[in-house]
Amino acid sequence: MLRKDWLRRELDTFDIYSLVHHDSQSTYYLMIGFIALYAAKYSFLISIYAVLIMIIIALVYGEMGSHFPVSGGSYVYVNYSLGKLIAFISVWLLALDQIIMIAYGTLDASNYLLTMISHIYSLHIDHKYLIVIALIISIILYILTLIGIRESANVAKIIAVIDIISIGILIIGFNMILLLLKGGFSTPPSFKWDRIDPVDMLIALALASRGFTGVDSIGQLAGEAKKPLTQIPRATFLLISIGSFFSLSLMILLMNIVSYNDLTTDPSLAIYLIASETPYITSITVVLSTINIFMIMIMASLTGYVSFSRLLYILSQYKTLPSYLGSIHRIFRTPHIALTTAFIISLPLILIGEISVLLEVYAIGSLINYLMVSISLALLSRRGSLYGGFSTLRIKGIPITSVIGVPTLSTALIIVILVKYFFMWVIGLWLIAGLLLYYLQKLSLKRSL
Amino acid sequence: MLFDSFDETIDKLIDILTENGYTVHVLTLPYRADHFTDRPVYIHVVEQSDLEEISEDADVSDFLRDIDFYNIEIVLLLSHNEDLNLKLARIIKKSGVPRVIIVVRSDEKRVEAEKENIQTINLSHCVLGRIQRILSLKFVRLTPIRGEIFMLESLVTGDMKIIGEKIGDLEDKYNIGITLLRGVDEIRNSEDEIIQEGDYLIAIGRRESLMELIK
Repeated sequence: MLRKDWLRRELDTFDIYSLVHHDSQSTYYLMIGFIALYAAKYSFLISIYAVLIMIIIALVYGEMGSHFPVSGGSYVYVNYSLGKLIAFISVWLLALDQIIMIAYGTLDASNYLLTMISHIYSLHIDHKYLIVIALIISIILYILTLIGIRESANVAKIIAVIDIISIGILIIGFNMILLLLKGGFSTPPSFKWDRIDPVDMLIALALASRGFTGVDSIGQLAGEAKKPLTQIPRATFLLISIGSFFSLSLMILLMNIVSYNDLTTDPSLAIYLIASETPYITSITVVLSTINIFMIMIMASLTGYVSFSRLLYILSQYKTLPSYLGSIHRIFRTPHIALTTAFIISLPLILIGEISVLLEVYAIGSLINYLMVSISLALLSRRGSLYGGFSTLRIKGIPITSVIGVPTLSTALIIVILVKYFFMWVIGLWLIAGLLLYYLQKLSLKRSL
Repeated sequence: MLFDSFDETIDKLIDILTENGYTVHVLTLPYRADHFTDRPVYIHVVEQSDLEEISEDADVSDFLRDIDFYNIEIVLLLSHNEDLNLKLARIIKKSGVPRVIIVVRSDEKRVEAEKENIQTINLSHCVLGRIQRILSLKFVRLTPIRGEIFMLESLVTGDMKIIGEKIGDLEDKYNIGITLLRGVDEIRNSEDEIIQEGDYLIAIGRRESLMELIK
């Protein structure tokens, strides 16, 4: 009898968007303060650059995703156009970012929680509690993703809605209306920071190039979408609209209502600073934004779990990694071994409690992957008969997203490598480990034949 | 891979195959492509003229470069044009696909196809039912008998909670009658018989009890 393992197709457009929202937004919430710190009066221009990179990546994924109804996203796309080895390298580098995201999301959420508690009760809390809470969060997320994607999507949806209300309506909407009514906007693009010269534009550009890492997760979820060929592009449009609005508005607010000096004390608290400068409803916005960012970090971790496990699932389906890594739980219908692997690999990173070195290499792999997917889209559209639910304008048969995407993403990658070249050994080690696994699997397949 | 039937059959078959965990590739004509964008399938378009002009000596990659036939398990050619179905089946069979099934109208084509190890389904039969049985696909059929009493037919699949249960226990619990078909021609209905994956389940009872049984 023919019997197959399969994932449940239960996700709607907003479910897909919600599961990616945190991954994409969390990176920007962290980066915005640092971008502003280094770019100073040019921060708004740099944030436009970051948004343009995000739009290009999202459109490439939207168009690619509208051709492929299966899980695996980047691997499936690159494998289709550039072959198995390039596809493996491309997603293996992406997987490193997903593991780092699990670790740094749980640690950062734990940090926010402890900061809030110590602030309220005026306590000094030992660093070891940061790790203990991060571990507890990671275990809860592991169980949640193990139980099922539907359950994860429901939690993700609630938190995405809270983020849209607290950041989108209460902080952005309220402040924008007040500034418009009072005529408080200064002249763009420098706004109130026109006398503050940039510290290092190259670092600012490098940060902005990595500002929206996580967009790729959208492609991983096609295998669980009810109507992937139309829902994946729709979810990317949501991502583009909400992501652009949030990013540009937050930077405008930062440069209009927060002083540069305040930002220099702790750039990671940029959203908190905007919330604390919101008049009339300060106490509400401060509490809500702190809780919100705590939850966003948790959800970014959850997305790390979901994306990493789906990547391993698809790699085992394509026999690039051992098949047991992709086995599906009989009851929950989730890739349980892959989820357990994600939990175990991220564990030491959480236990160290200090992931600054890994954060330095965060998102370089993603940028390489996005570049590969852009090239793959160009090749796919030139190649032939595969039909998609969404397509952009063609120039000589090549989608405009690829025409713009390939040179833009190459430039972004070069900028990031120029700034972070001394941390490239971490990526090198990860890549060597992956290639070792790849060739061992190839060898064992040959032997079994 | 499915070749478009250009009627409702293909939509129903896509639902059944995707529900059974298959990755489905649909081969269709350009004007029909949009019809499938709401389905979780790969859509491959080919010009009608290319299909008509292709010779039986051709290689499948001459007109379908985007499908990796090495990884295709089953090809179903469902169009009402039996000559085209047979021609495509021969070309695809050469590429090493283990199982090719075509829809035919005449006995002559059936004999011709089966000589070449190509399975056939006659268009005058229930095409969907035949495919379900040939591929042992998970399905549920409820037939009304009288009033609220229905007959349920279903293939027992690995994800059903009734696996490992005794017939007698389930009959008492749901107030229904159960018979199992196992293998080719075994009928099992004793109280102590344990339900196994792959059994063909027939049950009679109230609709809600039957739905509860297979939930």
